[in-house]
Amino acid sequence: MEQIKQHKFLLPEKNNKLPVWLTQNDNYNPCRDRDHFIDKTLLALTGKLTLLKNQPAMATDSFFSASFKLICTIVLILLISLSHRLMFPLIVLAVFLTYLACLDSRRISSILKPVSAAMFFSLCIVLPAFISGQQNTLMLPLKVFLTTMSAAFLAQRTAFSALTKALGGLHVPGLFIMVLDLTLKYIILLGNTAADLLIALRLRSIGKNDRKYKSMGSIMGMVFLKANEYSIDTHNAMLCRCFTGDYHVSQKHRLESRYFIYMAIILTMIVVFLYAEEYL
Amino acid sequence: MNTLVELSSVSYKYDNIIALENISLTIKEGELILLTGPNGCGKSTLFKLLNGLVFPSSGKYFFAGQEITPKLLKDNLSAKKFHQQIGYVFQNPDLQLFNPTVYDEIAFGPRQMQFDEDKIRERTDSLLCFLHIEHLRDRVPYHLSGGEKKKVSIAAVLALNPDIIMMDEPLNGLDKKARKWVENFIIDFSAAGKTMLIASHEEEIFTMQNRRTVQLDENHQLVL
Repeated sequence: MEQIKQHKFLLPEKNNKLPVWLTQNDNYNPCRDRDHFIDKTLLALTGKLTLLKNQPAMATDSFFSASFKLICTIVLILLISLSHRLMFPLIVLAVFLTYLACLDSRRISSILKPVSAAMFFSLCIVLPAFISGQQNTLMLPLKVFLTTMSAAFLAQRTAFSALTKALGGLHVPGLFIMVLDLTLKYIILLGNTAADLLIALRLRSIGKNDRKYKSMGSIMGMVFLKANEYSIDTHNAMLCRCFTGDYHVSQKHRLESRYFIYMAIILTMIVVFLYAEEYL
Repeated sequence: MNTLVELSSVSYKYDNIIALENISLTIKEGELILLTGPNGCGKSTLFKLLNGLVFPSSGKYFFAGQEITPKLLKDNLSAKKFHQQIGYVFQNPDLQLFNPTVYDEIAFGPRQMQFDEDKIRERTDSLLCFLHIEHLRDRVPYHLSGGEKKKVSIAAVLALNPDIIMMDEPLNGLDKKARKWVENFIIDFSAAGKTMLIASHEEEIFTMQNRRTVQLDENHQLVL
């Protein structure tokens, strides 16, 4: 009884009855509409978000530190770019393909997709030169393939947070690292917001919508407003926690025996490069 | 009373993590079900499953006697009919409201149903009046208070005139007055014979007599 009394007190008299149409069944029969774009957008967005969220789980190496992998990748990219002969890129290709063969199919496809796209793009660029008789231009797509694959391996085997921390070791400014960290965090947060809004749109898309792109525009606008709100809140929260513009990335280094192995690997790479380029 | 929702030994896993385990549940027309359980027990996943956003890894889900499968919802017309029958009020109204004004937000569903503009206006105005939010008619949903956003998101779902209303943690983030309003709305709506499923971890708040409580435990199973 108390509930009902409170109920009457809170809701004005004119409002406490349901509209008549709400007590009847609409017997609604939907008409067909072409709205696969919502499903496709949602699927693509959730797929990318899952990849980003699962990223730390993929990083399973414990022996090789993120700093080593980062330095190793930079040196390797440098050596591939500097090579004039085919030998060194072919040796790297053989190593990469052997490593690739040890991975499961899902991971192979996630590495090869972006790498193939980059190689195809560079192939299109050098194709006119190759047709006109410049045989050595094919080195460029091969180099693009190898350098993007090195970056893809690094991204696959290293958590993004560990990678940004490793950048601190290379004396990259702290503010730059903070921006990178925040960017990834907000890509995931805003991606989730966009995915939820798309789900809401999909659940309420029960008929013919002649203004699909207007709805999509509204969702993008909402995500933009959320981004603005998040950025203001983050800035205020940082100020409240004494942020003055300095972002300190903690780096504690102790000499470990594995560092000698790291150095040996990098030196081997350089020696192989010098040998392949016939400097030795 | 006819059975509206029937879950038969439904389990759901993602990435080998169990989210729901052997759930069997029947909801009849006109029932008010309160789904309780601790955080992370699978309440939101169950709502996603009931809305056809995810599908059982094992077991079967029937809505109004029809089995809900990925194949069924791939069909454009079946999916639209199914989504019209279920009204889902999100936990966070910010993630549900995307139209430029409150009026457009509520009119979004009826417009899709190809009603003429007079009927759309009548339906939208009656909801604005019923939920006592006429003064918000031309406001931007994003700039409303938490309680007002919740009312608008409820109105937007009611505009579809669904057979069942599902509300995920409807009292979260609301002040005392708005919480009382939502409680009273649920009582009022249920008393009018509408089917409702409410997920909340605050079991003690909904004290109405006619409700049935269903509890999910930490093992993602229903407690009988």
